[in-house]
Amino acid sequence: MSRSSFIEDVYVVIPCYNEGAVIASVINILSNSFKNIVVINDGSTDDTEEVLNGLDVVQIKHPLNLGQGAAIFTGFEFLKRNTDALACVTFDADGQHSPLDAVLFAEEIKKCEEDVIFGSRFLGNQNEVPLLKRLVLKGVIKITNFLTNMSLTDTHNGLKAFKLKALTQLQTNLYRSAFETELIINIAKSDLSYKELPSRIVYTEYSRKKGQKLVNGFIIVEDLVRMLMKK
Amino acid sequence: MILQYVFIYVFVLLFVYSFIRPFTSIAARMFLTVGSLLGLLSVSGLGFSTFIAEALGVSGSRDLFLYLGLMTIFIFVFVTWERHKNLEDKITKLSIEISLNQAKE
Repeated sequence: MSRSSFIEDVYVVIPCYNEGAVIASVINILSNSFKNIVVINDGSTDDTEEVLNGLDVVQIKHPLNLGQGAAIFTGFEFLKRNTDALACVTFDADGQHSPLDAVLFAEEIKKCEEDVIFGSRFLGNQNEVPLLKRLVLKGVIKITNFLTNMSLTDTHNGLKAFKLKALTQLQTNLYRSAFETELIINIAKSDLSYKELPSRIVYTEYSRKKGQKLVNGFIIVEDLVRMLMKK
Repeated sequence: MILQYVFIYVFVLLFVYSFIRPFTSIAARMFLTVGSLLGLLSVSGLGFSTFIAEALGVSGSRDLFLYLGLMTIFIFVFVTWERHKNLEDKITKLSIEISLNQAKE
């Protein structure tokens, strides 16, 4: 594939915290399809910064660890202020998403009418999601849908696509654990349209160790209730 | 006796002030209201607090103090937690701006 046939107008936003072991391989695969990759180094204390310095990406470094939500927010702000991107795809740094899905999301967000595309691990083959995780996530999804009047099948999937004009409409506040929830509430209360696409998640030993703990489901529900009470 | 009247005067003032002062959150207002009420009951003597407890349907002044004390503690924790969260948000925003400015350079 020649460099000119790469996806140029859809940027990839990758929040990253202590992913020095895998970030290079994730970016190398993504850079086969995407020209513009923005990595937000969220105050990593391992060799992530050195690894990123050797890669053809835009690196934005947080002076301290602010959380995944803040990292994604930084990526969005960077795109809004400094680029002429048409859309962006958010992608987890631990390599649990498929780069092919990212390409599909990028192509789809360019041509579809919806402003936001949510990735869903529960559309299509669900067998790869561990049983306990599936049960907890389903519970959180049901509560989220009930409280926001939305109909999502997966509310906490890192793979998403946004039209840039949609980002300007979001009033996302910065909360450590509640970014996804805040985002969903924002979309529910705005005029933004959305849809879901299936996304495959590869649960490796590494991603299981790094990923969200199941008990965080309680925090998510707590955040959801708190935010709805605030607004 | 004089000291008791001074304290009663102070707590009554604080109680009234809790309704007048502009607060950033309802919890902060509640903390001053309930806290000053607790203080007022503490210094106003057993007879008065028993009268209030009975009027409110609480079995005795001891229980009334316990309930108000617990309420004050919980509200204090909540107010502190909210302030901590707000401060954290401000630090986050500031850090993001610093990062974005450095990325632009």
